[in-house]
Amino acid sequence: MAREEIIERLKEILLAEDDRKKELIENCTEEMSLTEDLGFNSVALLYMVIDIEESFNIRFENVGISDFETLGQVVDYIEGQLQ
Amino acid sequence: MNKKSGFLKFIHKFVFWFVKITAAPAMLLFRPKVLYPDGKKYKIRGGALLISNHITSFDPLYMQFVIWHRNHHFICAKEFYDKPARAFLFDCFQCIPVDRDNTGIGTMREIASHLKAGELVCMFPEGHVNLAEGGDPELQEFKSGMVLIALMGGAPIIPMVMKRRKTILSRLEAAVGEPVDVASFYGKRPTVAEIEEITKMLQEKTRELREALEA
Repeated sequence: MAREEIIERLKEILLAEDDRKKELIENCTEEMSLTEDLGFNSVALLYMVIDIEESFNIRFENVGISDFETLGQVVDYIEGQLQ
Repeated sequence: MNKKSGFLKFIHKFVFWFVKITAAPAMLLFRPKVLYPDGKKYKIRGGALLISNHITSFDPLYMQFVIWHRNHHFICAKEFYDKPARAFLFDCFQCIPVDRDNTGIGTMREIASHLKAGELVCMFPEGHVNLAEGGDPELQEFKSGMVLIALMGGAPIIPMVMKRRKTILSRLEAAVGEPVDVASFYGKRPTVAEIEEITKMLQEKTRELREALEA
């Protein structure tokens, strides 16, 4: 799966999770911080991980929510798991 | 490795049942006065997440006194596992350590698996002991993680409130509320905003329980 495709699907997940941040999520970039720029709290991050696991059929092993600082790092992890 | 962990599990279970059986007379003597505000005693069967206010370090013990017929798993901060003896004791009492600063999805899965297996998991949604002085302190803001855990485990959340004991010999007073099926709330997978709403609603239900207990 291409990186752009992963990002698009990730945006869909984030939008379904929190539609209050529609504009922010639609225009987000890989460099954006999940907590500071996108304003996700720990529950939102855990929810995101659960949704990613279901959507991409992958499993997050031995990682905590603080291990991902930016959206790009999440994409890197998904990419790594899909290979 | 497996043999050792199997032996350790046996020791943990042995200590757990030894304490539970030998403490039974004390549990009977100091059995809590449990209030069911709706006048209906809810049967706590199958997987459920029991949440309570947290006013003393003995609250996990008191929760066992209130729901005495079930085995409890407790969600416990990982930092309390710093000493081997304490870690051993917590393992005996089926605690699940959680890293509060960097919660792992693996931990969430472990907690959910206990709920799916029909077990009772207990947690304190305020996140720490409420050390406010004098009487029974006001509830602090609940964390939303409990709703996520209940959704993952497909289990209801049961609110409960305990009152500070006046003396060491006085019986504990507690109130247990109606189980809340968080999964059926919106008829769909809730958004983060809806999870926060459910959290506030549970906090309100717990506050009402507290008022009923005070009355």
